[in-house]
Amino acid sequence: MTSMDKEIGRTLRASTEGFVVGCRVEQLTSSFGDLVKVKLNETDVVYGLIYKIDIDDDPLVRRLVLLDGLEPAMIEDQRQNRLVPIEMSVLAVGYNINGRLRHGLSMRPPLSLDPAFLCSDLNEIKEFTDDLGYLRMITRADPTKVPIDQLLITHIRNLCQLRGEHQWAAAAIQEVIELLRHDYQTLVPILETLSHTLPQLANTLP
Amino acid sequence: MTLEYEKLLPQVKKMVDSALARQKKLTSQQENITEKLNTHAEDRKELYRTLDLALERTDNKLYAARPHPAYEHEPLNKGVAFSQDALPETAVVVGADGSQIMPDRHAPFLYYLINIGIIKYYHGTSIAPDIFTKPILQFPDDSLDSNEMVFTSGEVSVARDLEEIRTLSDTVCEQSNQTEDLVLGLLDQRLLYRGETQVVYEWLKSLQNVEQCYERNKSASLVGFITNPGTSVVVNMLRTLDIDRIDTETGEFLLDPDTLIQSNIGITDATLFADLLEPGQRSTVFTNISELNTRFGNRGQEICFFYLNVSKNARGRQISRVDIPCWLANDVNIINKIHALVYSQCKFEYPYVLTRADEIAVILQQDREYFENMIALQMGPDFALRRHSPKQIGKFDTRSGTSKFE
Repeated sequence: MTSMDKEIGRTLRASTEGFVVGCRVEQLTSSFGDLVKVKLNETDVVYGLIYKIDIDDDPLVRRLVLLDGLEPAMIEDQRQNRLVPIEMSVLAVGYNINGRLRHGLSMRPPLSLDPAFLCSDLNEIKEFTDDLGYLRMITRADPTKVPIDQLLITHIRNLCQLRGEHQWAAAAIQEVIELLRHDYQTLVPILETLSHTLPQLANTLP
Repeated sequence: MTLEYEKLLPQVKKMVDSALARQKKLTSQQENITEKLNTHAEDRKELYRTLDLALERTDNKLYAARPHPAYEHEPLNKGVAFSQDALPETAVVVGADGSQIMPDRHAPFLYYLINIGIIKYYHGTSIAPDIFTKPILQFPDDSLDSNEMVFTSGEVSVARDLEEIRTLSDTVCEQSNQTEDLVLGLLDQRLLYRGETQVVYEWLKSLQNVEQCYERNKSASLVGFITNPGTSVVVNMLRTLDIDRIDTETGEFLLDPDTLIQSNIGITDATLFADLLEPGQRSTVFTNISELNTRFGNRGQEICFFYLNVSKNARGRQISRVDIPCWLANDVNIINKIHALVYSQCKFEYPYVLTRADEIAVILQQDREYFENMIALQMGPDFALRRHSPKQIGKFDTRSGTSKFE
């Protein structure tokens, strides 16, 4: 872990394909599309991308939401005291075992209550995303569970801003085109959205 | 074997007929009582006179209510509206509730567990409430005769009630030492606690504790909140107005003393006030008249109360009772604040802090299972072979459902 890593919650449940991180409201600093990691032991970590954030309700919240004069202290009580964790679903995209970074599924998933961290160190982010092989993990995810198009768009846009390198974004888009060349229904909307959100890359888009 | 519903159907029909007939009788009785209330709404002197006479004739065993003299300006048949002005800008509302695992002599280990849940709610702020629990485990000590210790569920319930009020009063006092805001302790039951002398004595100590804190800083308070109250002390108070009436045929009093001792004639105070109080309104404040309250009064802890329509809906008629120590009820200003604060808490016709205190305190079946595993693990190999009794195991077997061939 680097000193910049910020704990965003702990693993609730996991499989080799991904994991769910539970957190309190005040811990909710990460967003859809962020690169996160869970420490398996002192040296090994699993990387993933947040593809879903769930906030569950219960009968009391459903009644409170209908109240006219909901008091601020009640809102804080719900958010900070009641045992309803926010759940972030993470798609596993890579791992680092014995100092060797790999894209793909790790040999074992994180265990319950392993702490999860937001990757904030630019060097680490660059190291993981320089090689674009991990994008295959997104395009091959189960589309009934993972919003593949939105995840790709958000991830590429965020990384482009974070890295400040248009070349990286251009290469990522080329990789996505390659990976989805047989799936126009998914590919075309992705390219259209990216051409709007990253107009500076319009020349690189077909 | 499950319930044979077809055998129950005729009995359910009889039950419905009986309920309808009863309702008809009650409606007629209620009209009579309401008329008395309207006639004497501002005539407290006559009520005081008949109450005193009734007390004399029943040898002080009357079970009724007396309008509190500090609220003489409030007609008995009119509600006092919820006032936003009376609602403190900031206050601390403390809710307490308890839960328990009852002792089970068929279980591998004999114990009982009480769990008290407390929530400190900072009214008028954006601060998240503070919550905590106080679990108390009771088990036989190492003396041989204590192996025979068998707790009854009644005893455990009393122990839980005492711990609830003790923890609540301690929290209220502690909190009132830290703030000038009103600190209101809310207990999910009547303040006039029935029980053995020693139990009542312990109960009173908690009330006295809050009174001492109130005397120090004028901010500590504690009330009991009763949903769907079944008492009819105000109804009985109105019935005493007939105390002078004589049966023309027999020449005897219409109302014999035993009738006045009887605590319930079918109509409850809640039914009476449901027709009188608009949402947010409270009744005037009354003092409970009973032998039990006399015992409380002898210790300086007489209990007063008011009824409150806790509904939010304009047509709502959900009546609750708020029990207050009379030393607190003597201060009209603080009662108005308590009225406003309790009503503001009743977002769902029940105080929010009590809903949460219950949630914090409750011991679910899965908690119990974890806890019993924890005991078994700690007990180690010496006790590893202890099991539920054969009777209990039989119940588990017959109630655990069937399984499919897979």
